[in-house]
Amino acid sequence: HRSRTMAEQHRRVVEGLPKIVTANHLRGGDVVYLRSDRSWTAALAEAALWEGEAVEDGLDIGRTAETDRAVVGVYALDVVVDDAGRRHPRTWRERIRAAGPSVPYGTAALAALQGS
Amino acid sequence: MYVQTEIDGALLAQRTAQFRDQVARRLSGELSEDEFKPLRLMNGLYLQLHAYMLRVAIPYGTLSADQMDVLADIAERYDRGYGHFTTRQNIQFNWPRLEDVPDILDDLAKVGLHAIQTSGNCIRNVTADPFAGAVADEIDDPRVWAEVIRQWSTLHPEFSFLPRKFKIAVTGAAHDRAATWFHDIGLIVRENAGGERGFEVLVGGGQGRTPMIARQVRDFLPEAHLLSYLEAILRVYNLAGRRDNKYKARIKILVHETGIEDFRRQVEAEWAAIRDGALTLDPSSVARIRQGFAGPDLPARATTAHDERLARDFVYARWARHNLVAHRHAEHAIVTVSLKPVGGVPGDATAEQMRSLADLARRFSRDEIRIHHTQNVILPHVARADLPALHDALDAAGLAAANVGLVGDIIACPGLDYCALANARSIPIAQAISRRLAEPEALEAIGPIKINISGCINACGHHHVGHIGILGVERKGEEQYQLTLGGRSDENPAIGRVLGPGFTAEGVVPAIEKILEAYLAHRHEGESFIDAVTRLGNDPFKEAVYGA
Repeated sequence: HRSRTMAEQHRRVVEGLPKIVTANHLRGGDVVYLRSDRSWTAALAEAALWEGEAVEDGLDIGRTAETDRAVVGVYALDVVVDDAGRRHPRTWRERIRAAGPSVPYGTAALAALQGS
Repeated sequence: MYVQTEIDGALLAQRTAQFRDQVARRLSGELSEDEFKPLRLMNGLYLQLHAYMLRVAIPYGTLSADQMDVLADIAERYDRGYGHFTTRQNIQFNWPRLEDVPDILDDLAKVGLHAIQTSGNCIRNVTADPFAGAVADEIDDPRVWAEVIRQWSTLHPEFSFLPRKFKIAVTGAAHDRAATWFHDIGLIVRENAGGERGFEVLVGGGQGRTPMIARQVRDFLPEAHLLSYLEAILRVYNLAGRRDNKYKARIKILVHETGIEDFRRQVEAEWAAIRDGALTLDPSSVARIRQGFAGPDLPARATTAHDERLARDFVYARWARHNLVAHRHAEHAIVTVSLKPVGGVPGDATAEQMRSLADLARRFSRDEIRIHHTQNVILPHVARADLPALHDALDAAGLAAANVGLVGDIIACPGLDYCALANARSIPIAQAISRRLAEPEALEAIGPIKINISGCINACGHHHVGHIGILGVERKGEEQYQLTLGGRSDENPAIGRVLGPGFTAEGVVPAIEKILEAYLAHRHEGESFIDAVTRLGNDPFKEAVYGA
């Protein structure tokens, strides 16, 4: 019963978190986030926050962009906003998706080996 | 290598033109994403965590130097200067733009490469022993049969919408270097008592969320009936495989739920109706394909340079000890180039490294390259006389890590750093283990061992068959790693057994160290890690890691 209550509490906390609407740029594949002016940005920090019933409005704007073939794969991700107003995706997946691979790649990976 | 015909060229040209049109119609809106997605998947194009990802087929892991050069060009021109060699002998590019993919496919087609059926619910790249055609112990070159199967399965109209993906592997030697027991169909070349060559046919192996060792469906299949028998298996699967649940849709589930006896009866009944027909292999067609795999003339050359270098240079001797495999021609060697530098990303190569490998293949390996499913690169036909020069060139290119088959030779999927399916990262775990156990003396003291890391239960890192398997999961928002012991993908197949509770990322390396310390403490003289684990079971390792 206690773990069910905790799970329920966790679910409510997550549901109450603000969301950012995201997708991939159709032509390029880049990860993009929806701004309040309905344009898309690669920078999570510039994205609009959507809360409560407004989340569906944000998703509708995203789906319109999907229909218009600007983006593909629209969904909303949870963010935690810290005291300084910075946004942090709740999940590891979205943090890595926002920041890029957590390890250097290509020639940067080789350079890192030489430096270590 | 297989010599492409005009038909192959025409097929690729038509396929790339078709996909160019499909991309144009997607971008114009004539095709929705739901309509486009199965089409792009059957051309190897995924939408991954950060970008599109293109998986290019390397049929049975065999590449020419010219083809490797084109892969380097694509990495540089259309991607971010590197590629990733995979556990199914393919290559993946992580950053192509959808609008560039038609041009990429055109460039690939010019050298006979493509991305056909590297994804989707169809028959995927047929993999084979990466030492095929060079190794001393093979009965027959499995690539001949892999090519026959490739031609049969490419754009096969009946098998383009299977319940799920379908993977076939072929080995031509008793020592199984193709993991046939863990494929949807595994084929082992055999000779029967009468000296006739054919195949032992295995079905229903696989890893993923439900690892299963294959079952033998036929102990001996004469060569001529290869395609008709495969057709029979695929027909039974296509009809009876589950389509209601993606996670229960592989043939391994069908074989398990049906039972092998009943499954075999169904296959044999289907085969009886179609054998001796159009799918019977014409010996002259097989002979034409076989010609391409005849292998280069390898003239005798004195091995003095290699022998002398071995005697005086212990770094070279260490490389030779671990990175060479005996060739069927005594004065040659099969060289494994490790793509696992200490702290590196397993299986990645920069465009420059790819060009170096192409150049070295031209100079030392008769233009031929192989991709090993352990994510290393093979130069299959190197004269021992040339080994010192090759080693020095590899060293200059940062490709001379002497760790093949040792602790540092870690197999890892891209994991959560790249993959939309993953739950945890795998590359940083591989790097941490590699850095911690970097000393050559430590590697040699431990001896042969396979560590496999997967970032989710789809098991693309093949962790179920790792001597030490590491599975990344997510627990309460954090990455956690479960360890297994005792997996094997060779002719003594075994699925790894879970050791105990999982670890945080920081806990993995200390746990691995305790496992290895326990091995060193308990092993018999000369006993390998996997043999010790097989003999002892998990208990002494569990005790070492978790305490009594």
